[in-house]
Amino acid sequence: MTDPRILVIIPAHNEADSLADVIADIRSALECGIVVVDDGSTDHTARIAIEQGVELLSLPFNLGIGSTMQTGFQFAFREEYDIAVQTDGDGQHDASYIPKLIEPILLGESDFVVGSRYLSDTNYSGPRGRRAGTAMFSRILSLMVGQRLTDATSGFRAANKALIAQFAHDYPRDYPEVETLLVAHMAHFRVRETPVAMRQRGGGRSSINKFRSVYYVVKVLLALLVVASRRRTPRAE
Amino acid sequence: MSKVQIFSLVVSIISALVIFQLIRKKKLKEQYSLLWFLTVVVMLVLALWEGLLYRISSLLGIAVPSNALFMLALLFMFFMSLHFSMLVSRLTDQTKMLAQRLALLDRDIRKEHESKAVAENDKGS
Repeated sequence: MTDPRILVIIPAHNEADSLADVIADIRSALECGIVVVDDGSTDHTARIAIEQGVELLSLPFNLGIGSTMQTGFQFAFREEYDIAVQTDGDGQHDASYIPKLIEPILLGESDFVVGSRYLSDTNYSGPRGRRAGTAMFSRILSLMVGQRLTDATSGFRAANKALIAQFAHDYPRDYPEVETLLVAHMAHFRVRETPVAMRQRGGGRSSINKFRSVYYVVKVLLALLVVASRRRTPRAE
Repeated sequence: MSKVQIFSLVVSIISALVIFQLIRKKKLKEQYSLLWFLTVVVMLVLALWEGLLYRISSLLGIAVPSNALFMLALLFMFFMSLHFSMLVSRLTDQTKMLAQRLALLDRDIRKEHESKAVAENDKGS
């Protein structure tokens, strides 16, 4: 791959407090394009993105994390980026890990790289409920794809060009992390994890609260069942 | 004609008029109105043809004909709801795609304005 173009996608819903720091972090970590996808924020998230001189895609109303990410992939696809990195708008993901995240793709060893909190011995691994949910999904997913996965709910990941095309076309609307891993596997993409550290959330709240967690689990399990019931498609190039 | 038949007849006719009025005021797409008209026709047939409901219920092995009626009505409502859920899903998807397209176009227009402003500044200086 000669001179690969890399795009970092930051989905942001009311992340005005942390967005400038997140962008500065990414800029100090690597040379890349940055796009903020503003998911119908009611604060001045969009203004900060413009002030920082990054690309801005502003959704007219709240679509949820999945469709917001998909908008970023659509932009990456249209602008013919080679690698799309998805990170969080609240500073949870440490941008200094991005070069490690994209390395297997640059080397052509993998198509989809997920940053895992559980492969490294870092102190922060999320609240207990979330940790249990992640462990459960990771185990189920590992069985389904026949490969050990430790952090199926991580939203810190990198996709290559073929996968960008796939995600631009089709992406789950909400709670997409676990499902997209299986979708990628079913479409014969090579998935791999790499250890990363994550920080406590800065501004913004987790998109998952107690009342929603039941819906989250049921929705993801159903989605996995649906995806698994489809035939494995030959990989589209 | 029995009391209940007259009652059913009146209800059916009123329903038909309401549906027709909704179409006239363009509050209902003809596509959906056909389904509702069909419902009214079924109501009318059941109201006027006394033996039909009895025959249906004995065919289904339901002792009380009114129960057969309730069951059919419930089933009908169930499938209507399912149909509407499908429509809502499709509309949600289309709305999503519109919003995404809008975000991309909005960005392109902003870029164009910016490059125009830069070009004009260059001319001025």
